[in-house]
Amino acid sequence: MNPEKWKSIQRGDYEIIAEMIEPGSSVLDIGCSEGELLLSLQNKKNCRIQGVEIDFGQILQATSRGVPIIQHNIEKGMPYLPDRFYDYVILSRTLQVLFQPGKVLEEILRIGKHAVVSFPNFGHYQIRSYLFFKGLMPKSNILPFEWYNTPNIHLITINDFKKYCRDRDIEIQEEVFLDMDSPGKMSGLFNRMAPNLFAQYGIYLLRR
Amino acid sequence: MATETPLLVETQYYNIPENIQLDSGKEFGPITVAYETYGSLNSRKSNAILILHALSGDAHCAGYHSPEDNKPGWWDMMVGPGKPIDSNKYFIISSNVLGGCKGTTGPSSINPETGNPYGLSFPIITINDMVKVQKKLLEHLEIPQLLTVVGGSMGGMQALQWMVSYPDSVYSCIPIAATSRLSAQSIAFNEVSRQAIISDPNYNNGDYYDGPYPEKGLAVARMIGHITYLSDESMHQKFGRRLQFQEELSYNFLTEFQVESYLHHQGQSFVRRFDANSLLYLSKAMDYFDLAAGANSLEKTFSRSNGHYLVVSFTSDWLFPTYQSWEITSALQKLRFPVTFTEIDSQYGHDAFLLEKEQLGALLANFLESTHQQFEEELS
Repeated sequence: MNPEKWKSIQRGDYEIIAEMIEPGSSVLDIGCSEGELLLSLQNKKNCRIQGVEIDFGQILQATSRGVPIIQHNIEKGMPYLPDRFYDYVILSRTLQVLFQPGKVLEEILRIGKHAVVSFPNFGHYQIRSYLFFKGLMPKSNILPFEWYNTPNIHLITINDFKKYCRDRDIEIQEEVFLDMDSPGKMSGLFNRMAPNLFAQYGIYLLRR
Repeated sequence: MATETPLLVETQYYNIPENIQLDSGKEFGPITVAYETYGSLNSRKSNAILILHALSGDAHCAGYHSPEDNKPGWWDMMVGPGKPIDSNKYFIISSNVLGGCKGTTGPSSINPETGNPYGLSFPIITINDMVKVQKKLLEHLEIPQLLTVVGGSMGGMQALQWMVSYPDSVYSCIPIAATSRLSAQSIAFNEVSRQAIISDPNYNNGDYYDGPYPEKGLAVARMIGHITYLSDESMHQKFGRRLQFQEELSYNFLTEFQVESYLHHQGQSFVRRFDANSLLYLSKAMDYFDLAAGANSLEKTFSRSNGHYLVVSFTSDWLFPTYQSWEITSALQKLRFPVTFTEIDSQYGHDAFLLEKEQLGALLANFLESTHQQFEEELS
């Protein structure tokens, strides 16, 4: 594991998500950790923010920053909220740890006018070659765990996700790919040609 | 902070110059309010915190009344210099509720018209009536807007009522182990407690101040209460099946188990410090508490109560279970008010708000710090 690289992905992720969000909108961030992204959306984009997190330690930190945060397991949904209640619902780096990612995606597309979803791409060529040559469950800088202790139980590829959206009439409004070795958006040939092979990370702006 | 000299405080009294219109329709007065303050009000008046006590609490929530005093206030763990609710930073006010028996006018106070204690001639009061009295105190102290109202259990009910009754006078609210309406289960326990008191032969229709005290009834009421404040797990940890005085079972009905002995002790010590009629009046006020009543929904009730909220529940609290805090939280979320909710992992049951020093303390300190900063920014 390389914490520095992971941090740069995290920052890149936050920056790109922040660019996707219109100023002054209402935002729910699910799995918001210490509320870093929400805080910058509030300060820089004047957004109305609310976080959801399951871990008490993270909630404690978010509270010291003044980020409102509800302790809740999103797998239970938020059935009391009306449709399209928030302008944006963010699910950043959380999809792959959920027991029922499909159910949660449906819920965030219901309660949000837009959903922002980001996840590590399991189709990246290094991961493929790890499995191909070593015959072991792949590990990488952003997927550093062993098979027996990983929280990442639903790993997907960029193409899996695109197919999921296509099959369910979910409109992809914007997609951005990240490569850890060069911070910021991936550009140029690789990006256009084969993100499923070369992107380590995908960020999607969705709408139904 | 162990090195700090103990905080010495004095209970003060304020006589409200006018009568209060009670929810029951009656006008009532005169009312005296017992209160204590800790710390000092800043020049912008942005650091005032009102602490609201639970059923058996009083105005004395922190510090000591004299250097010889060995019993600190009921929330000394949370309130005082260097504590989570820090009297070095905040101006903290704590008062005894209307209907209580610790200095604020209640059924054991002398009715000036008769020269005798009110007893059952004291009017029925509500949580909202308690809050009206607190508002008068705040006006007297010339505090236009509180930074926060905070309390556990019945104190949490008052905190929520503050947001509904005086939304412009409060910036934030911290209901802990609270509910927006008392459940049937809790009303049931309250009724059993009241019946225990009323059926004591010494109760004498509430007029016992000159005669023998309804000691047994009040002690039983407190024993029932105490069971509801603990949890299966905490009782198991604290007492298990251990015997109090002997090694072997004695095959009679004398006190044998530690848990029995504990409850007897709690009952007896309560009798010495609490008025039986006050318990009747305060428990009734809790029974009547239902913020959604009349509005059909909690959201509608809260709709004017824009503020910052910190809602806290405890895993093992079966008297005011987490779902009740969740009802409050989801209503606030639907209103788009900034709300922080957390369920603290605790084995202490309902009493956790008096015992969970580390987790609750850190949460309160963090929330107050950031909320105070936001309040300051909005004032400037």
